Amino acid sequence: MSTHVEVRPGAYADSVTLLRVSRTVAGLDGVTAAQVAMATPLNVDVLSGMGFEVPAGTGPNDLVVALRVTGDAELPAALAGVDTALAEANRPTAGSGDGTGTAAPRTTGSALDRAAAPIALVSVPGPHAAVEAMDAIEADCDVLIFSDNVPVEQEIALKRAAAERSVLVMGPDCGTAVVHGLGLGFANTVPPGPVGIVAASGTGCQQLLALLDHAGVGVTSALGVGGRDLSAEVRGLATREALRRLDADPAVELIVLVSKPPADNVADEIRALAAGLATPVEFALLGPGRPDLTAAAGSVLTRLGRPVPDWPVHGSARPAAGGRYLRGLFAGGTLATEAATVATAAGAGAGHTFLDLGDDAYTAGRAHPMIDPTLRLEHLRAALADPDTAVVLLDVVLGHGAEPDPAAALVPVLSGARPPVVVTVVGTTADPQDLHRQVGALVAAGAEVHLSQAGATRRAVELLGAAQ
Amino acid sequence: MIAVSAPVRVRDRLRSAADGPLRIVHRGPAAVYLAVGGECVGVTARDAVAVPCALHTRLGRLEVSRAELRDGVLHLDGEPLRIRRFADTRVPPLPAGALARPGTSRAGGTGRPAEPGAATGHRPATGTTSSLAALPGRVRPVTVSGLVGSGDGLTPLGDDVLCGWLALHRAAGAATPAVDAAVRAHLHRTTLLSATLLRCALDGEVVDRFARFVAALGSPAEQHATAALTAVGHTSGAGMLHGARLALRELHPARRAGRRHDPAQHDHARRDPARHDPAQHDHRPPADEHPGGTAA
Repeated sequence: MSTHVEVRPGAYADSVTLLRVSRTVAGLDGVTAAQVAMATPLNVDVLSGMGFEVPAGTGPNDLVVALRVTGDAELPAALAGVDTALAEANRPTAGSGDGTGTAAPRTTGSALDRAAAPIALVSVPGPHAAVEAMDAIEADCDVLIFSDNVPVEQEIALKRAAAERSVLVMGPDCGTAVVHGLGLGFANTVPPGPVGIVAASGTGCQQLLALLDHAGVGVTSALGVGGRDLSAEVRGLATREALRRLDADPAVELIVLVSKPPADNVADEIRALAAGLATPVEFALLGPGRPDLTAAAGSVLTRLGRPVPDWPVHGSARPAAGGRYLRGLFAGGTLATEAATVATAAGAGAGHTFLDLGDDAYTAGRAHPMIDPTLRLEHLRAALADPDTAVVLLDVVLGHGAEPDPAAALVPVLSGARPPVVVTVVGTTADPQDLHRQVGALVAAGAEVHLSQAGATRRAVELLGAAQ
Repeated sequence: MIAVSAPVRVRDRLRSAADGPLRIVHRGPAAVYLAVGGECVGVTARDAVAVPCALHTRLGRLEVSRAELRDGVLHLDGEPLRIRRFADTRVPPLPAGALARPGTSRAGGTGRPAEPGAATGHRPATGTTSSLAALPGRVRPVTVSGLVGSGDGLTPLGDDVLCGWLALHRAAGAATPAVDAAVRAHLHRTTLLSATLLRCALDGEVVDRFARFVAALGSPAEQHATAALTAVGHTSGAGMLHGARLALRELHPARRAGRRHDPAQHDHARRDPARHDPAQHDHRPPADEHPGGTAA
């Protein structure tokens, strides 16, 4: 076995590209581990955890190539594989030009000059997102800002400019949107129907989409507004425009607003606006002492005159066998928060973990855990091996944009584990990952799989009680 | 794998049909139509009109020699077509005021509807106007037999007229149970594709250009949407437009002195989910459903 760590100062590729390169190289003959990543502090920690020693002085502007190969003879081919994979990843794709040999536009403004579009999607490093988004707004084009780490002052400036033009700004940090059936970011495949959603929470929106889909209720549009939109600073600037859009859509019979509780006076303003709309609005404001997402879905169904189904549970968790703590490892921030809230309300007590691996602290220089499972798998292995762990709670979020086969990465880690494992699979039957296949694989690995995150959490707390 | 968008009804049709080879009803570069469990399911190319009974692809052209169904998934020449987006084929509610104004929709006319291409800049195929003139001038239960299957091609002109008439009534929230029953009773007299499109229209599901036409009624976009609808197929768009105009004329308040239906009331009911129950959707027949109705 031979280990090779190489630093390439000044080289750069984005985290999703490097994830693809790492996977390609890891699949080469003679390569047992490969990690090609920018040397952010988080990635250096990951590399250390994998047994690679990164030279002192290496920083976020350096690219690290770390390989473990079966012998020195395999190294040249592996390094050539890295170069080939990087070159392939950086090659312009078929859709990056206009098919006439003309170079692809390099700014949102120049792209919109070439062809009018109703919506622009901005996914660049946060400090540069506002410039691109303002290009779209000035072209009277709605914009979804997938980027996070956008300063709140810039968000306010963008949304004020948009409000003057009746343009909708979805985001920043807008992970999920469905615009007339078209998914943007992380989005589930849902049929059209009577519900329209305004969401300040990406995975909260996805949980609602999945529950409503299971109940046979479609969603015409789900407009993300970014997690800060209902704060005292931003004051619901995008929420107001999104509510007006859905109210004007004749296909929408009921609007659902999903968010953390807004700042108090903002909540009053939004409620007053909602009261003046022709379309009724159901408020799903999440937090301690408030209904969880599953209860909110039930309220929506009741308001539509539809029955509330039993939310599905597949498989049965192993019996609890020792340990003291619930370990929750999440890809979805809202799901992590909801799990903590529900567990507390169910009497779980203190000391438990509800880790949001999609938080900015875990995505600096790395792709989101819904795309790259590496970091969560590392935490999962540690949690399963920890004798203090009584029960493990996970989310698996399916849909467009998410990794193509999340169960394939989880199953080898879960199989034969001692603690019971409860998983929420947030997805619909038409999602690209094949919901039934994902659920079946996790159940076969010993997990108990729920559609409702709140239901999964209560079950985990029940198992925790049995362990204690 | 070919990613496609599709209406929910197509997914359900494919899921409920038996596995096995499928008969190709029609094959062309823009669309392929297949017989699936007693209905027609289409596959359309990128630039084709989005039909409410079809899977829509991004392929520039279709060349298909074999189709089969496996576990509810359509395969063309062995390649699976996976639904990755659901298309909304519902006809939108009639815009407020669309019935009240005698605009380019000719809703308030007293004679036959305007020619399909009037005021749009797009003229329908030669002979369409005379063919339309030869069809029954009113849609009533007793005239349905003269419309279903009347005409040539995959979607006979009489069926197109009926599709437009039915879908416009769905947009207005006006139930037409007697005409619906007559249409269902005569479906065996037309092609499989046209019978399927009539079933779609009975359920308020339409081609995208018809939906845009309805949404644009009474707005500045009406003329453009009308031209786009007229351009569908050889005569199909013109036929649907004619049927829609017949319906608009019949539903016009000036012709509905008895006023047994109020679209504004329908819209209000739609906005209040607590009072909305699709199963209880307004089943009152409009006046024209009755031989002794108020319409002239």
